[in-house]
Amino acid sequence: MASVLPFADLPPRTDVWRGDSLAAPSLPGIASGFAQLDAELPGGGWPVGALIELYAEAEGIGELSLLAPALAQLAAQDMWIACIAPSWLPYAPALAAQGIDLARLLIVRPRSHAETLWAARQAIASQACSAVLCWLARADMQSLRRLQLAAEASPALAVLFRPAHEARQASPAVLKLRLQARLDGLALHILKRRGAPLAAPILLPQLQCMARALPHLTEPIPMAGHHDLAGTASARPAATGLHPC
Amino acid sequence: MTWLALHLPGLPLQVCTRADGSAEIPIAVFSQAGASPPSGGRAGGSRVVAANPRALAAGIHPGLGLASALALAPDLVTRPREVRGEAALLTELACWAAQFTPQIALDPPDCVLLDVGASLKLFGGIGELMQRIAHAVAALGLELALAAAPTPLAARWLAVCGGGRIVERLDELPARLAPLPVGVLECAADARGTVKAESIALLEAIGLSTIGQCLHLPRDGLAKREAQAVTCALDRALGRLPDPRPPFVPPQLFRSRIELPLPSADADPLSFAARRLLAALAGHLAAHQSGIEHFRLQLEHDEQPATTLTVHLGVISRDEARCGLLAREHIATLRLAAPVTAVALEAAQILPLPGESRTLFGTLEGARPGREQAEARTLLVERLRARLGDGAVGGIVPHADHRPERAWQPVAPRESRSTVAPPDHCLPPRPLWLLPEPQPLARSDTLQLVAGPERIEAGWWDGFDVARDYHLALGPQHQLLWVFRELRDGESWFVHGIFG
Repeated sequence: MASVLPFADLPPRTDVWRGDSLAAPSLPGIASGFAQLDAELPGGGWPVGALIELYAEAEGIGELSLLAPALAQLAAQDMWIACIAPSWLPYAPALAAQGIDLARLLIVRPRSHAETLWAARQAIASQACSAVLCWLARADMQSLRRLQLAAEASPALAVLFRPAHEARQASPAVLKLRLQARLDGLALHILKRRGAPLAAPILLPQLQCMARALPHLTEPIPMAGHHDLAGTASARPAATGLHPC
Repeated sequence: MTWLALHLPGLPLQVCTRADGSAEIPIAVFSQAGASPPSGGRAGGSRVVAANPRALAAGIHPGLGLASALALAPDLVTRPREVRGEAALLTELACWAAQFTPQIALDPPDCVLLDVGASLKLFGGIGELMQRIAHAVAALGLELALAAAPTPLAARWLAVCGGGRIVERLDELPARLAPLPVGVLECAADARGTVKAESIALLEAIGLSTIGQCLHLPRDGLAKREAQAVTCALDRALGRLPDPRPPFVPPQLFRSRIELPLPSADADPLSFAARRLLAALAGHLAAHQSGIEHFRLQLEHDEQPATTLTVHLGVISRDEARCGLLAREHIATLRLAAPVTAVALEAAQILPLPGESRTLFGTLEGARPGREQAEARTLLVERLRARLGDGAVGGIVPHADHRPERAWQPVAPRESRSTVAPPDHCLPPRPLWLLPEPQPLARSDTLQLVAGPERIEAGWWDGFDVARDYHLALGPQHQLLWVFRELRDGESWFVHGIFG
C-alpha cells in the first residue's frame, strides 16, 4: 500500500488553495498602488477575471481614490474604462489630475436597474474594457452570478460598488471589501478573499480624507478647531442630505 | 464556359416562408381569382398554387380550390400569390450571387444563371463552389436546386428536374439530357419565342416522354407541325445554337422586403427576418467591394404607418454578424404599436470598402492585436447605444474654465487618444465627484471647514456669472466635501463636490 502523502507535498495547483494561505491565481493581479493592500490580496493586487465588490459605509469616503492608481495604470491600455451608472458626475479635471487618460473613459447612464445589469454584463464580456466600474443600488444572486460568469472569461477589472447594508448578503464575488472612513485613514475590512480570513482591517493612511484632497502634503492637517458654517454652533452631527443623481 | 443554374423550387411559397425557419404551420399560396389558373385547373375562383410540406400532408395540392383546401385543413394559413415579390426575390438572389461571379443572368420566373467559368479556380472547382453556394444560401432562408452545365438552358433544365447534377463537357450533354421529361421544354423562353404548350401537348400526344426521344425527331417534320421552337430549344440546350443572355446589372441601392408568415410583435421573429435580409445585403456588399455605415429597417403594420429604425454601425462594414447583433438590440428596445406584417431593409449609402488580403496561413494581413480591440471597442459602444439610447453613452473632457460646471464637457466616446493638455496642477485640489447641481446646505447641517477659501469668480460675460468661496469641509461620515458660500448674498452654503 502506498504511503499517504502529506497534504503539503501535493503538487501545487492554481485552482486549489489551502485555507491557511493565499491562493495563487493563474493571472497576477493589478497592483493597487497600496503596498499594505497588495500584500493581503491573492495575486498581489486587484484580481482580474473575477468580480470585486466594494461596500462603502458612506458614498464618497474614498472608494474611487482607492481604485485611482490601478485605473491610471489601466488607462494606458487601449481599452475602455467603463463607468456604469455612477452616483454623481465623474469630474474630468480631478480624474485627469489622478493620471487617468480621459479618452479611455466611457460613462454609461442606463435608465433602469435592469439596464444597468445588462450594460455591466455587456461591458465585462466585450473584451474591450480594461476596467468596468458599476454602481448597483441592489442586486440579487442570479444577476451577480451572471456578472461573475462574464468576469471569469474577461480580462477586465470588474468592480461593483454596493451599499454597505448589503455586505452580509451572499455573493459569488471572489473579493469583498468593506470601506470605513476613520480620522487616521481609510480602513478596509476584507470580508471575503481567496485565502484565510483577515481579522484586523487594513488601514490606508494615504487615503485619510485630507490626504486624498491634498496628496502633495506629507503631514496630515491636524483636525482641530470647528468652524461653524452659518454662525450657529451645533455639535451634533447631521446627515448632509446628499442625494445621488 | 460553365453555367450554374440556381433554381428556386416553389418560388411563390418561398416568398412567404423564408421569414420563418420552422415548418410548423400549414401554409398555402393561392392565385387571385381571375388570374390565369395553374395548368390543369379550371378557370375562375382562387386556386392553390403552392403548399408547404405540412399542407401537402393534409391533402392540399396545387390546383385545388381555396374553399376545398380550407375544408381539408381549417388551420391553413393562406397567402395571396405575390408576383412582384417573386421578381424582387429573384433580383435579391442575383445581387447576393454577385459575390461568386460578375456574369449573372436572370431567367424568370424562378431561376438565376451564373456564368462561373472564370471563378472556378478561385473557388476550387465546380463541386466546391456548388457546395459553398448551397451552404451560404441557407442564411437567406431560401431553398435552391443547383445544377451546372456548359450551356445555360441545359443547366436550367437539369436544375428544374432536381438539383445537384454537374455536366462538365459539351459532348456529354445529349446523353445527360436524354432522360429529362419533355415538360422541361416549357422553360425555354427567350426573345425568339417560347415553346408553346400546344407543342408540348403534341409531343406527348405522339407518345414522346423524354428529351432523348425528341432528339431523334426529324426537323422538317416538326417544322411542318409549327413546332420549330422545339428544335430551336434543343439546339440551344446542346450548344449548337448560340444562346446569349442579357447580363444582370445589380441596382446601386439595396432594398429588400420580407413578409412575415404571421403578424408578430415579438423581437425574435423580427430579428430572424432581419437577419435573412442582412445576409442578402452582405452578399450584395461583398460583390460591390463596399460597405455601409448605417441601414434602415422598416417594420410595416396593418393600417398604421411603418416603424422605421436606423441602425448605425459605428464603422464602415459589411459584417453580417455585426449588423445582425445591432439590429437585434434595436428591435429589442422597440415598443410596437401593432403587430408587424413585413420587414423591409434599405441601405442607401453604399460606400467603398476594399477587401482585406490574407496571408499564406489565412490570418488577416496587417492584423495587429490593437485592430481587433478597436473593433471590439466600437462594437461595445454601438451595442450600448442601440439599447440605452444615443445620449446614455459618452466620455468627458476637461475644458479650460474656472467655473466647475464648465470645467468639463460631455463628448461622444472617442477613438483617438486624448490631445487635451493635462490641467494645471497648481490649482487647489478638485473633487473626483461633482454633484449635477449644487445642493443647498440647511442651517442645521454641521460641517467642519478644513481648508480654503478659494475664490472662483468668473463668467459675467456669458450670462453664467458665479462668485463663490470654495472650502474643503469634513462631513459627518468623514467624507470630504467641496462646499462653497455664495458671495452674492453671503449667507447660503452649497455642497458642490465630493472627494470620493
